[in-house]
Amino acid sequence: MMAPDLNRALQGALAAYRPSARIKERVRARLRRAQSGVSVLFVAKDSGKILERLFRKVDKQFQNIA
Amino acid sequence: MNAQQKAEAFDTVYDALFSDVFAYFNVCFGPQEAEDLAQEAFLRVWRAIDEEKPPDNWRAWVFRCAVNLKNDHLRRAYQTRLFQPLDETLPDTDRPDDPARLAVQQAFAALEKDERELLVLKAFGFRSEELGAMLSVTASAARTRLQKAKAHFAEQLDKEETPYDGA
Repeated sequence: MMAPDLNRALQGALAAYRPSARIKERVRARLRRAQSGVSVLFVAKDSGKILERLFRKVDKQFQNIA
Repeated sequence: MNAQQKAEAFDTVYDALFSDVFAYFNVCFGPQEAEDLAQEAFLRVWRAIDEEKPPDNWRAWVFRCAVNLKNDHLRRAYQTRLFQPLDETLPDTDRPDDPARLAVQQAFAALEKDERELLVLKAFGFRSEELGAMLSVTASAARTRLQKAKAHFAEQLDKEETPYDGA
C-alpha cells in the first residue's frame, strides 16, 4: 500500500496526463463510426501500403463485393 | 445482445476506463500517441462486446491490452528508428499556476519512464500480482521495482520541496 502522501502526490501528478472532455468525445465519436460499419483492410496496388476503409453494413456495393 | 445493448455496454466500459487508459499512454508517449493508442485499445473493447466475449474483469483486461499496445508501439518505433527517448518535460497541458502542483508534476516527470509506467499502473489500483502479469515479471519482481520507483519519486518530491512528505 502506498503512503497516503505519496499516493496523493501521484494522483496530483497524474491529473496533468488525463484527457480533456473534448478528446474523450472525439475518440468516442470515431469509435461509434467504427461500431456502425465494417472495416475492410486491403493493400494499395501502387504503394503497397495497408489501408483501411469503413463501409456501412448496409452498403449495397460492399455486400456485392463480399 | 441487440445493437442498443452493445452500445450501452461499450459506453459503460468507456466512461469507466478511458481517462485512465489515456493517462497511461500519455505518460508513456505523449498526448498525440495516447489518443491513437487509447482508440485502438477501445476498439478491442468494442470487438469483445460485439462478439459477446466480455472478460470477467474489464479493468485488468483493458490494461493488459494497453501494455501490449505500448510494447508493440515501442517495437515498431524502434524498428522504424522513430524512437525518441521520453522527454522529461511536463505533458502538453496547461502548466498549473500553483507552484506546489507544478513541483509535484516536475518530480514525476523526472522519473525514468519505466518508473512512471509502474507508478501509474499502481495508482490505478492494480496489485503486484496483476502488475507482474501485465509486465511479464513475477509478482515479487514487480513489488521490488515498485518499491524502487516509489523511493525515487519520494526523493524527487523532496528535491522539488513539495508539501508532500515522500516517506
